[in-house]
Amino acid sequence: MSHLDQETDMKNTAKSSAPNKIDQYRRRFLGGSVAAVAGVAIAPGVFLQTVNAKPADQEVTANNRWGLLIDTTKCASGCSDCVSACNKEHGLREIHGPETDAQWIRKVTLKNKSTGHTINLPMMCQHCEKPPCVDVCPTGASFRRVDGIVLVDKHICIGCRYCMMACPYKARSFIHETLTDQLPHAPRGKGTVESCTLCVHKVDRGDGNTACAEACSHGAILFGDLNDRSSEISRRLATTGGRELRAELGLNLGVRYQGL
Amino acid sequence: MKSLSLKRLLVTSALLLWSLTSLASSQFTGPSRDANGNVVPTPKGEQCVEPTADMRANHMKYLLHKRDLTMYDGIRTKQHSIVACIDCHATPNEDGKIVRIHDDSNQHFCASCHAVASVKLDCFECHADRPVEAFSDADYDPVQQLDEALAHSDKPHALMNRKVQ
Repeated sequence: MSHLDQETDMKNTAKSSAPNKIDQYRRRFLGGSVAAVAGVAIAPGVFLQTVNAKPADQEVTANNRWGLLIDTTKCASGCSDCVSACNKEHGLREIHGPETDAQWIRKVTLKNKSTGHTINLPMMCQHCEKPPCVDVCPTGASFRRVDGIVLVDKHICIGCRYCMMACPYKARSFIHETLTDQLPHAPRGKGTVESCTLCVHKVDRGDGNTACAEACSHGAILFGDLNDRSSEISRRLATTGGRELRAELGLNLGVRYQGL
Repeated sequence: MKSLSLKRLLVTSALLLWSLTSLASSQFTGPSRDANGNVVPTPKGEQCVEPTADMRANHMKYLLHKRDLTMYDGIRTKQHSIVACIDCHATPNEDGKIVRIHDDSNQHFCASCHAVASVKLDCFECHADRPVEAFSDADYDPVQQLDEALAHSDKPHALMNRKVQ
């Protein structure tokens, strides 16, 4: 087989990336409409149970919307187990100190000066439905996966840091230094922007939890599917409620807070 | 376009020539060696996910295609995934050591060919260049790493300025 034949063959077997994306968007649109019709057709009030573990060869779908519910009344002062767990999970190491090091999750303490009331909470990417970082990205590197996880395609990130400016939650970090010994499931590199991935590798594996939620011994972080009415996160949101930070921006966040 | 295809043709023929010479030399020595006599790590499996000739010419296209499927669609099968390639191909050298991509010996599976073909690859600026099992617990533990870094360094390490919460 000549080199040109192989070229054509590749195009037939493996889809090339540019037209492929358009096809995918079309398919998603069609898939979405079909699913919506099917949902209505089954019966009102009857929902198919969504299973957390999807087969590895299947695409993620908009049937899921992954999110976190954080109970600030349980979040303990001086505890940073979630931060350590996140760093360990993704191989984040201290290089030049907190001013320039990557922070995917950070502990924030709020104090009401008049009453002295203190609130502790972990802050991370809020996984907006309408993410400002995606709006401003000039290369399309910032994107939102259909299941609600906001990510950076570091292959096409040029490190301009517009997304860092646009993010109302200061959730993104820029990598200044050449990194070594990155973990297989968490590729990271110099000159790109990164943030909390909602442990996307764990979600895809079907773990049904994030490293921070697993590490929180106080039970302050709950991971779950906001689209699944029967999930614990949805039930707790329905009964006890949860606030979006800066809700006035209308970004429809994937991370909700209680006790604020 | 013309210059691009010419360039491709040149690279392909160079690769072909190289693969032929490496094939010829491997018949006379125990472990497989490339044109420069460097040891090329033997993969774990018996058969690659695609025919060898196809992989030589098209591995980057497969990787590129799979990378988008994984990132955007969450498809994490082993087929054509860079992690699975490394798990199988980045095997220990004759001394039983896992070779790294930036080792001068160019014994890393990817480096052994890319060095000869003089094609720079930057996959491993971000991606892991060794298999999952080559990572120790210390690789997953930032605190332990800091201790090790300090133990092996006689000058004050930048990490010493860390603030403990």
